Amino acid sequence: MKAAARSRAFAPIFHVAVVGLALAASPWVVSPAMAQKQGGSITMGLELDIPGFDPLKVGVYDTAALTAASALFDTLTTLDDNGKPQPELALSWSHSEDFKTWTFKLRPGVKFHDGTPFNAAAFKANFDRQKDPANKCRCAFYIANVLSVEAPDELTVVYNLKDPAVNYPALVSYASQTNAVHSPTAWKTKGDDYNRNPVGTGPYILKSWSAGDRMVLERNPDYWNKGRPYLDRLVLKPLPDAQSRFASLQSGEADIIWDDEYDADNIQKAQKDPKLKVHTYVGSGAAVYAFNTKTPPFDDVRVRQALVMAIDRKKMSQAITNGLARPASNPFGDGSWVKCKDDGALPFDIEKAKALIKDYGKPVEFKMIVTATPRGRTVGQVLQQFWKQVGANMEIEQVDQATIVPRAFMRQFQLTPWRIVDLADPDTQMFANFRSGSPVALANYSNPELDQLLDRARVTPDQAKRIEDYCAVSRLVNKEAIWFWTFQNTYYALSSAKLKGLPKIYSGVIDVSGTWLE
Amino acid sequence: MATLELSIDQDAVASPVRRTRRLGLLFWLAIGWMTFVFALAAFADLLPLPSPFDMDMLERRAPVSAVHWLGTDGLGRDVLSRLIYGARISLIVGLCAPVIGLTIGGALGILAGYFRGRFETLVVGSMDTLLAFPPLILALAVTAYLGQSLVNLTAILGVLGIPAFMRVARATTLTLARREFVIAAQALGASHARILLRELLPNVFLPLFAFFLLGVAVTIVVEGALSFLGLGVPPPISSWGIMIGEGRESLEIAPRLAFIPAVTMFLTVLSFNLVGDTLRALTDPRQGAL
Repeated sequence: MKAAARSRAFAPIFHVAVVGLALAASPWVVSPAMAQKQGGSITMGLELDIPGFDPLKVGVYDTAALTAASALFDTLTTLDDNGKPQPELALSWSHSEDFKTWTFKLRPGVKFHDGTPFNAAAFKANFDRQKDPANKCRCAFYIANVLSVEAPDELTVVYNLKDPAVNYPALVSYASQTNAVHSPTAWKTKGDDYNRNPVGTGPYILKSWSAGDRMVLERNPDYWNKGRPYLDRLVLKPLPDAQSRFASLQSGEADIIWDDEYDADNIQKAQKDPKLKVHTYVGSGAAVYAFNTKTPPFDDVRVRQALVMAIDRKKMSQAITNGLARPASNPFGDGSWVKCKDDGALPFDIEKAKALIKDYGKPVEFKMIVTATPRGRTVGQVLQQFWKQVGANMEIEQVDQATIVPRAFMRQFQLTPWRIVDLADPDTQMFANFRSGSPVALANYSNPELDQLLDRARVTPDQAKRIEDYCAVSRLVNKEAIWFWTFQNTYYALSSAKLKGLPKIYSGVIDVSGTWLE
Repeated sequence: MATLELSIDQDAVASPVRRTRRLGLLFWLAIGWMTFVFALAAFADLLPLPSPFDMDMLERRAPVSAVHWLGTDGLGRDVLSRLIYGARISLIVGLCAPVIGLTIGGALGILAGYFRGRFETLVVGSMDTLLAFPPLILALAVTAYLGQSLVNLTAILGVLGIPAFMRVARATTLTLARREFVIAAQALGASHARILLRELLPNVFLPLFAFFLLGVAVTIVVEGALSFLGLGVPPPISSWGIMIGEGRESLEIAPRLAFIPAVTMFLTVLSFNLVGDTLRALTDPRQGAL
């Protein structure tokens, strides 16, 4: 009797413990109900054709390249489903008092696909190649904060940072142009051909690649993580047209496709289809637009405020994404740990906007850059309509996606689209986008108060204080209306329901190295 | 533009049989449709239409109703209104571009056919060069370089049409230049200008005009194709090609958005073809020669 009572009393505790364990179990831990199956092959439909993998050649990886890179390469860390860095090529890490030096202990016994060993010297060679001014790598911009990487012994890597980074291991977690670890032997022997013959340590090896058609990756039999990956083969196909991409998923020609909310009809159709599964990830960051405050009419704050106030984001979301897109009032978004009580967002107020334009006195006429894609034209036309209602005339200038970046850097625009991507820490992008003197401070705007906030937020270890500063930044930028944000970042992938084990699609990167087919 | 040439060659071979001089019901139906489209496009501003640009963002892809006779498009704009204003663009480009071809190509062709010699070699040679250039690539390059506008679009399509008109004009002139009335005029001491303008031009003009109508049909299609690719007139202006391109995005949910402009374009192009073909059959100088 006594024993029975005790066991009943303990039962809830026991239950909690079991459930807690189950929740804590990452996909790495095998539970009997989710038995991973070895073998099989899947086809992935990506939006863009991949230009290559050599950082010196391509400068920056887009989402399609990142998706392939996450199968070909490993990084020091990887993010778990809670956004916390976990060991990958690094087993452990530590930092100095001032967060300016980060030391990573590397995993022993890892080999590149070409058989050469992965070690601290190889890692340092990657960094030095990208940092070397003689190589003129556009990627160097992304490692501007890193002064040097040292390799004191075979399995230790030390990062020396220019400015403190309190969350550095989270920033090196995805296979970007500067984080993916390439085989130094491979790029030396292959020279110019290396761009299309990448060699990493990742779970998959490049088998064949025909540009514009398909890239075939085979399982790496010597992968350091024994038993992984599960799938024998990945086929990556560029399918730029959303309709045909979805059609190939429906027909079974593709098993997983990249998607975004502008393809709302198909996402909603997939939600209703039991044979398909919608993977979505609410990221940080937003789709943003920058005014060039050095060119009229945007040199006047009234015009900028009026245009921002004229945008009805809810209606816009309805019009372009069936209401899927989540309106943004600050550059951080729901996926970020920066949450503001007051982000200083200007209200949607047509009357006020009209009054401001009237107050400005001169006719408001300008050109806005949009991408020459159906998506760009739709967004452009909707904004044009909003601004026409308050008496501002916008002319749409369609340009190729690739030309937007150089034009933005050279400030050859009046109003340009941009994106704040999903990074684990806001500092990188906030500092680059708003600190005066930065090449990406597109608004050409300079304000000592803003600079001071940005300088302080990046060196403060206390998160609560950082949040305060970043909210102040948001209030200031919203008030001055030098940039505006329309929608928060939400990433989508649609797959067949048979594909299991897909982790969160951080930044829209589909990492299938832990997936299997049922 | 190669298609134009093909149709002529084929017809020359395939229609040795004389066509009846009666125009037939189809011809008049085609004329009727053309008049209808022209009238709508010309008087669009006077019609009680909603603006083709105003969006009702919460009424996207609305079905046919009393307010929106053909429903609304993917951004909540009135389809009928966009269709009619789109007709303007399609017709302006469709008519103006071949006029450029007709004027320049026609003049070059008559001069080349009449004077022969080095001038002819030069003209034919340069036209062949222009023909050898892939037309779509040239159009893409020009719009990318000069920017998108109605004028640029019309100009580039017009220039692309010049070789075809030149060839028709030259071929017709070649057969006419040896005819008795021209020789008679020369014998009477008429100047070149007089022979060209008074004797040759009236005779070359009719077949050239028939060819012009076919050119209109082709140009409307090419404009549609460029707009479909997003290289036609800049948004928010509507044109049939743009409407088809935008409608394609919601092909599965509201197929009519792509279907309605496609049918309209089809009927219009068919009408121009029918009328052009009939006129060409009537004015073919080779028939008169029999």
